[in-house]
Amino acid sequence: MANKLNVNPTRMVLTNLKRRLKVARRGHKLLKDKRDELMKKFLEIVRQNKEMREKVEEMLQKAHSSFVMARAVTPTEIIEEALMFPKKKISLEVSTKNIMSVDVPVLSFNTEGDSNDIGDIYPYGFATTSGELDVAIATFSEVVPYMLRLAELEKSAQLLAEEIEKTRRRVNALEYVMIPNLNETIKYINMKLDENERGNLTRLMKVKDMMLEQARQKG
Amino acid sequence: MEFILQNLNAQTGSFLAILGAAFGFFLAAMGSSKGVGLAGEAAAGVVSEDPGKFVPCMVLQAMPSTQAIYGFIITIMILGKINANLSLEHGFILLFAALPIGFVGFLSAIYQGRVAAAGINMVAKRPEEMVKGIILASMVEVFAIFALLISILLINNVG
Amino acid sequence: MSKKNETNFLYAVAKIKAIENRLLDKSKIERMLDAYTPEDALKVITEADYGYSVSEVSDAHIYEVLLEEEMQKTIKLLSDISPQKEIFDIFMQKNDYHNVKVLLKAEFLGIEKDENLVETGAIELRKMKMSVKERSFIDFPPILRQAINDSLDTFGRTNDPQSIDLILDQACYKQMLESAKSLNNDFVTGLVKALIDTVNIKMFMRLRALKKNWDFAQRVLLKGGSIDTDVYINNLESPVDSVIELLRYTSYGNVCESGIEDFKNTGSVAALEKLCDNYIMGYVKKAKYLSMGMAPLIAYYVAKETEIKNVRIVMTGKINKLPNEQIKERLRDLYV
Repeated sequence: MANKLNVNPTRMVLTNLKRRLKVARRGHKLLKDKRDELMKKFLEIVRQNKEMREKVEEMLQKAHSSFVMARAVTPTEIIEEALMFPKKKISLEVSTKNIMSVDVPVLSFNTEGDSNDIGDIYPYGFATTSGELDVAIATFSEVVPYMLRLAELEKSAQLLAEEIEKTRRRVNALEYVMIPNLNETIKYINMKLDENERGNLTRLMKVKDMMLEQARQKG
Repeated sequence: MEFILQNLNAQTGSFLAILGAAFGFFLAAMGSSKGVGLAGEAAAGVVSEDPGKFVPCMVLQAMPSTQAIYGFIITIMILGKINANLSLEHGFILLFAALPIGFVGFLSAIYQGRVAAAGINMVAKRPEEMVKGIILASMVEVFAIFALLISILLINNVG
Repeated sequence: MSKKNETNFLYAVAKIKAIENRLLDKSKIERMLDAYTPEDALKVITEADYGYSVSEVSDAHIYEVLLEEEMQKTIKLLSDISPQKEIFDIFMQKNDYHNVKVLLKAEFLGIEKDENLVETGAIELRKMKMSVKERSFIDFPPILRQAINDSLDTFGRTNDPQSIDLILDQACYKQMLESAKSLNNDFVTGLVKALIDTVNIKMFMRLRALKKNWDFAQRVLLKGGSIDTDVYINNLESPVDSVIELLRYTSYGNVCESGIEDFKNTGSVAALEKLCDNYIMGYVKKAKYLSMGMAPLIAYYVAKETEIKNVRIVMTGKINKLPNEQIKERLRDLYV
């Protein structure tokens, strides 16, 4: 009886508690469903995330190694000059999407500047730079949308994980604390009420005996 | 005027011989100074970076100076032949005898100087090949020696 | 060039020949490759007396500083000993054009980027900065002046930073060719022409890879080389094999054949770029056997530039922990 709530063992409280237990049970079931659904979504996102991350990492690796080679054969100041003035501008928009009452970010970007030549991303002259810089820049520019998608997924996974944790804590609280406590308290009140009942009965029987005794002496 | 001409006639032989002597030396020596100068510039370049190579550079630099010595020998020999009654004919012979060493010495010294400069560049790279540089420069020397011989033979025509 | 003029260089050439002994040779480069850490590799070049500021090397990344200082040192040495300073103009002017590019771009972006400027231009840096700021290019060579005006005009109309580079690159090589011609020396003119041709071949393959149109190619390809730009432009879209066939009988035949073959297999111009550099090195190597004239001095400059490039390749490779084979693949031929 360690976990019972500190309440007066009255019938009214009992009714209240019974109502609360019912609500708690229903809540528990709902939350459990929510948790399972969240888990499903989470796993899906994590799987996508993993794929995306591998892809992005591979592309970055490629871009990086080309860039290292370009740097190796070109003096620093020429590389710096070549990349000083970007030809394209990117504007990023952030909106949100609702997954199971969790707001996850959605990123989208627009390239500004002359859009009629999409391949035209090289802001430098060709005479002083190396061909490997072209490869690096092309790969970097290719990887941008994937990186944004990756950021989106990663943040979603993070937010979902938080939500799952919160939900799981609630489920556990209901399952292992709230519901057992309520059960125990109800049991306690029931027992208490039963005991009162039995006490009353005994008392009544005792009174009846005493009354019978008195009547016999008088009579 | 008369006097000079007459005088000339009498002395023309000696005059021509002296002219030859002067030519022989001054052309050969001019060539040598030019050649030694060229090689010297190159030698200075190498020694300024690597003082340890002074000796091989100096040897190579000195090579074009031999032409001046040959010129000097011829000059002395011609001067030895000059006397008061040197005939006009002998005077001409002596003048022409000086020409081979003069001209050949002049040119060979300059070219030898260039070869020596190249040799010095070679020494800068491979000090152990100095001897080959000297041999290459000596090839040019051969012509100066021929010229010297011819000059001597010509002088010997004069009794 | 008269003989008299040629012998002016005797002292300088002999000195350079002695100094050439100190260029990094194959075994030194091997030592750098064999080093376990970038710091150990750097030791080889500090031992070779690179730069000014070496005392102890704590961080391998200072190699960039060393390399820049070494370039400055080389230019100073060469112009100190050369009796005719303007022979290095062809290389120094390249830096002028670089500086102009940096200054213009920085101005259009509204930022200061002085760390990207290089000191070793033919025009003094301070003066260059003032002139660009005040738009007074009276003292500049006419080609440079014209190019700056053109790029200002074009950028004003199109807002395209690439056009600055394209116009100035064109002008830069035009200027180099003109300076070379004014030296009246076949070796130097030949070198600049070879530079233009190799740059064109490299750019041609890159343009093809990037699928640029002929209009753009016209703006990019350099004029004045021994192969006319029309040859490239007409073949911008023809198959690779016919390009090899086309260039086979020029003096760049070998370069193109194996370089473009490699491009076909890997899609990378790295091998072609290396072969082009090697071609230039092969060209200047002729000066090894000359003992007078300006050629050995020019050759020394190119040799030093290549050496610095090699050191940069090794150091970048070491710092990024690339395997030795991959580093070796990129190394250029040495002069010594």
